[in-house]
Amino acid sequence: MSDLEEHLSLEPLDPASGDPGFWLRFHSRVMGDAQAELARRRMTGDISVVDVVFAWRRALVPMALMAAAMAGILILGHQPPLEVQVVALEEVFNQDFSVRPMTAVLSGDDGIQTGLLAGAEEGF
Amino acid sequence: MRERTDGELVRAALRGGQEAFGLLVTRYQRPAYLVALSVTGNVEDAEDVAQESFLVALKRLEDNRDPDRFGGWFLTIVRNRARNLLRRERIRKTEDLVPELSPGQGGPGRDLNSWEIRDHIERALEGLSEVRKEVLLLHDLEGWKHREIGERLGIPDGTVRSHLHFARKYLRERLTVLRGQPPKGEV
Repeated sequence: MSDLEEHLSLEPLDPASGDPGFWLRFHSRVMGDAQAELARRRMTGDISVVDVVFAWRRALVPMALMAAAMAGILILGHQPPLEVQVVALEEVFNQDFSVRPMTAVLSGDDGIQTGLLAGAEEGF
Repeated sequence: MRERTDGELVRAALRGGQEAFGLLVTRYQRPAYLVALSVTGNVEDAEDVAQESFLVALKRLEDNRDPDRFGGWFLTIVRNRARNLLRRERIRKTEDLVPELSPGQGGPGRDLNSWEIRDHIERALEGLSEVRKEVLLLHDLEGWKHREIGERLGIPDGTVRSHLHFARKYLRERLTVLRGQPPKGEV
């Protein structure tokens, strides 16, 4: 058994032996049949991520807006009411002073006598 | 310029590359035909099977897990489709009672025309197993080397050589006998 053993003459089995254009026509037929599938593959391959997002934009944008609105409603619904402190204007001014306000001094509730205050003034 | 590998062509064809798929067709049209002929034993059926198989392969290209081994995968498709066709043909023939007519003329000892020679070879091939027919045709007609046949049919080189040897021996003997007989269909 040798690799160089002479080939049997099987040429008549080759359709091109009596018809030289056979394989060209065969190739054309196969390519003709394959056109639709090849075109489908090219179209699928051309679609990028951006294309997919754009294809979905009509549905995505309203959905995103609705989701944002619903989230806003939920957040606002759970927010605790603001505590409003009523503060007198004078108290705000005196807040950081350690000395007692003039009104308290003048009211005399804590035993300071008006006469002492007057006498002190005269000494100047 | 370097010849593009099967893997490169398959990857391009997956993206719809027309030229790449065309090159695959050019590369495998004859092997596909010969494998189909090995199974069906009929040139017209072999042509149809080979043609359909390319389209089936293109549609199922994602199923080919190893694009570099496209040849073996594709020829399996061809073989399976040819077997299916043969099965359907056998069913049809058992239902068909009309005898086949062939265009053969003449008797033993005359010059054979090309159709008769082809008929003799086809009849001689009938007695061979599918794999031996494939090996014989791919080697002697398509010119594939033992290694290429082994890779694409999934059998060792030594087995390819053995199949080739027995197929040739059998075919020579059968052709010698058939040359002394009238073509198929003649009385």
